[in-house]
Amino acid sequence: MSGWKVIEQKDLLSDTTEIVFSSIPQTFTDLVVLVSGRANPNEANGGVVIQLGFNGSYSDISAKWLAGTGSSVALGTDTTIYVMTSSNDSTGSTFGNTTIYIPSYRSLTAKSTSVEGISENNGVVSRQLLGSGLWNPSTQAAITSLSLRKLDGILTGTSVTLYGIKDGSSGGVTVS
Amino acid sequence: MPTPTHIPLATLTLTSTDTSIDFANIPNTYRDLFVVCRMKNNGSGTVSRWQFNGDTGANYSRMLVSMSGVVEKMANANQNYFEPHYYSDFGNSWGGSLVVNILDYSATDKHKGVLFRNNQVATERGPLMMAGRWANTNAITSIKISINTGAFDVGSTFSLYGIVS
Repeated sequence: MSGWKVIEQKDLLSDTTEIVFSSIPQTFTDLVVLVSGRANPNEANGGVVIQLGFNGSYSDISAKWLAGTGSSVALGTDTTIYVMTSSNDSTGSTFGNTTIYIPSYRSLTAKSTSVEGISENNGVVSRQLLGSGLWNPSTQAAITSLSLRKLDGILTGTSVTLYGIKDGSSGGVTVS
Repeated sequence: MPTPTHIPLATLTLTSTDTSIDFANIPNTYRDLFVVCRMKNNGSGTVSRWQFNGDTGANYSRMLVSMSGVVEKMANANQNYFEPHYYSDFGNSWGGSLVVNILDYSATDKHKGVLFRNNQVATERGPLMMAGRWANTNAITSIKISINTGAFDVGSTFSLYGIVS
């Protein structure tokens, strides 16, 4: 039996500027990252984005995103893959939630990411983000580490879990 | 011991080009299905088309949001397939991925809801979120994924998982 396998979980007991998952096993097919996060600075819109990095780098990235605030829509193109968290001045004890899906992380081709996230803020404003990303270095490599970075600070209580999913066959299902 | 969730059912990485991929003999023992695809064409073809149980009738409806240089939206009823692309086409390079949730696929008392997430970053392309409805109460036993023209290229991958209830 397979399923989502926990590779590693990190719960912040103190503020930090970067969370790193290193030495990712090369035995799965896809990776999933679940983020329950809160970060600096204060933002009146209730949401702060942190960066996703690959193999120690935050470069060679293309990204597109759609976002909603509850009263308006925004979109953008960037060289950073954004991960949504709640801001430091969001309602107390609230953390934004983001899911990041990375298929075929061991392939020697560009790596695609699927990102959905929301900040949490009781009333006023919160943000929802739908993102696509591509890590496409000149020398392709399997993903061996993932990192999340916010130079203003990722706050205590943030929890990040890395899962691996393995493909395969069972149950008599055929594919052709 | 926690209950496993995404159970791998079948996977295919193309070693030669192909115009369609067929998952068949899907058992009715799971709650939902989950499909992950990485696709590119071999020179032409830009969108995938999804059909269930060999149904080619006008039984597929969709509603989506995506982006070009502006926010895009679309709603279509009574189509002959799901097409989870609108300003989110793929090309002949590894530029994106498609993640699909098929909810309550084994139920026999409801139409089937499907959530598509297409991820593209090329010029005039972007993320797409699409909700679809297959107007049929039969359990899903097969999924056909085809390309509009040309063929899926070598290396394209298609993986199916069952989600345990």
